[in-house]
Amino acid sequence: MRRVFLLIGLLAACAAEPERPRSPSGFLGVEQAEPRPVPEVPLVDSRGEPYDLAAAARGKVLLLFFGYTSCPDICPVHLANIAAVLERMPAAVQREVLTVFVTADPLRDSLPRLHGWVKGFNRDFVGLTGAPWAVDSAQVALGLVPAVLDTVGGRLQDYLVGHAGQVIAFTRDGLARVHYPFGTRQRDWAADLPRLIAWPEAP
Amino acid sequence: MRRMLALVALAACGGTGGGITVRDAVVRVAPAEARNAAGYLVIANSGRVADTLRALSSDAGPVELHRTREEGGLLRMEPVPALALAPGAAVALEPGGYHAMIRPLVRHVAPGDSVTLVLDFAHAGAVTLRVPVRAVGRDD
Repeated sequence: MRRVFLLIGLLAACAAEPERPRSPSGFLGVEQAEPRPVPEVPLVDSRGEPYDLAAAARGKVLLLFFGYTSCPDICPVHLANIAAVLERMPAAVQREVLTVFVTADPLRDSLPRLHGWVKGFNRDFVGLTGAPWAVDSAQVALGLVPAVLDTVGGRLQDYLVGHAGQVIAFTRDGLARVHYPFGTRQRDWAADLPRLIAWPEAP
Repeated sequence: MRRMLALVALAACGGTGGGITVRDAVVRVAPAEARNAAGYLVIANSGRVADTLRALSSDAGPVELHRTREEGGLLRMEPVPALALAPGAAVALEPGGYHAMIRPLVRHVAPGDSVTLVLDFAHAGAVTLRVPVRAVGRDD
C-alpha cells in the first residue's frame, strides 16, 4: 500500500514540472536591476560593412549573444532555439525582433565563415565581428565577463573559447532589460518575446 | 512514460556491452559551416563492477569527451580524460554538461545522416553505435 502511494507521489512529481518563477515585470528570463544601453563600439557585419548596432536596434527588441562559430554545445543551441521560436511567430512579431550574434573569436571567425554560420540558423540573423578590444569592450559594457581563449593542451589553432552563456535582451527603448541563461527553452522564449516587444505594457 | 520512451530510443539508437547500456544517442550539428559537432547520449552501468569510459572515436572525426561548466561568469569547456561509471550509475551527456565533441569534422555531416560512434570501456570493451544526426536545438 505504502509502495503504491510512493509511486503515485513520484509520478505526480514528474508530471508537475515546476514552472520558472517570473521576474517583477513577468519575464521568465533574469530581469536586470540596472539595465544597460546598447554598447557603442565599432563592429562590422559579416559582409565587412560597418554596423551601427544601436541604430539598427532602435525601436526593436534586440537579442544579443557573444559566442564563436566553432562552439558545439552552447552557442548553436541558443541560436537554433531562437530561430525555431521566431519561425512559429507571426511575421508582425518577427519584424520586431533583431537577433545579433557577435563573435568572441574574431581572429578565427572570418567574414565568410561567420556569415554562413549565422545565416544558416535564420537569414535575418546578423553576425558581427570587430577588433578584439571592441568585442571585449561591448561585453564589459553589458556587465559580462569578456570571453577568453582556452588554449589548454597547447592547441594553438584548434582552441576553445570560454564565453558568457546568456543571451541579452534589449527592450525597444534600447536597454538590456533581461538576460537569458543557457537552458532557456523554446517555450520560455515563446512566452517572453511578446512581453519584451510590449514592454512596458503587458502583452 | 519516460521509461517507455527510453526503451523505444534504445531500440533505435542504443547499444549494449557488458553491463553497459547506451541510449538516446544523437549527434547535433549547426545548420551550416559546422566545423565540429556535439554527441549526446545516456550511459548506464547495470553491471556489478565499476567501469570507465576511457575513449571515444567516430567515422566523422576524432572525438573528445568534454564538460561545459560555469566558472567566473564564463561557460568553459574542459577536456575530461575518462568518465567513471559506478555499478548502478547512469551518466547523461547532455547540452551544457558532459558531451562528446567531434572535432574537427572530417566529412560533411547533416541532419538525416548517421555517424558511427565507438565508446571504449575499460571492462565492457567497445560499444559501437549508429547515431542519427539531427539539427541542433531542442523543443522541450
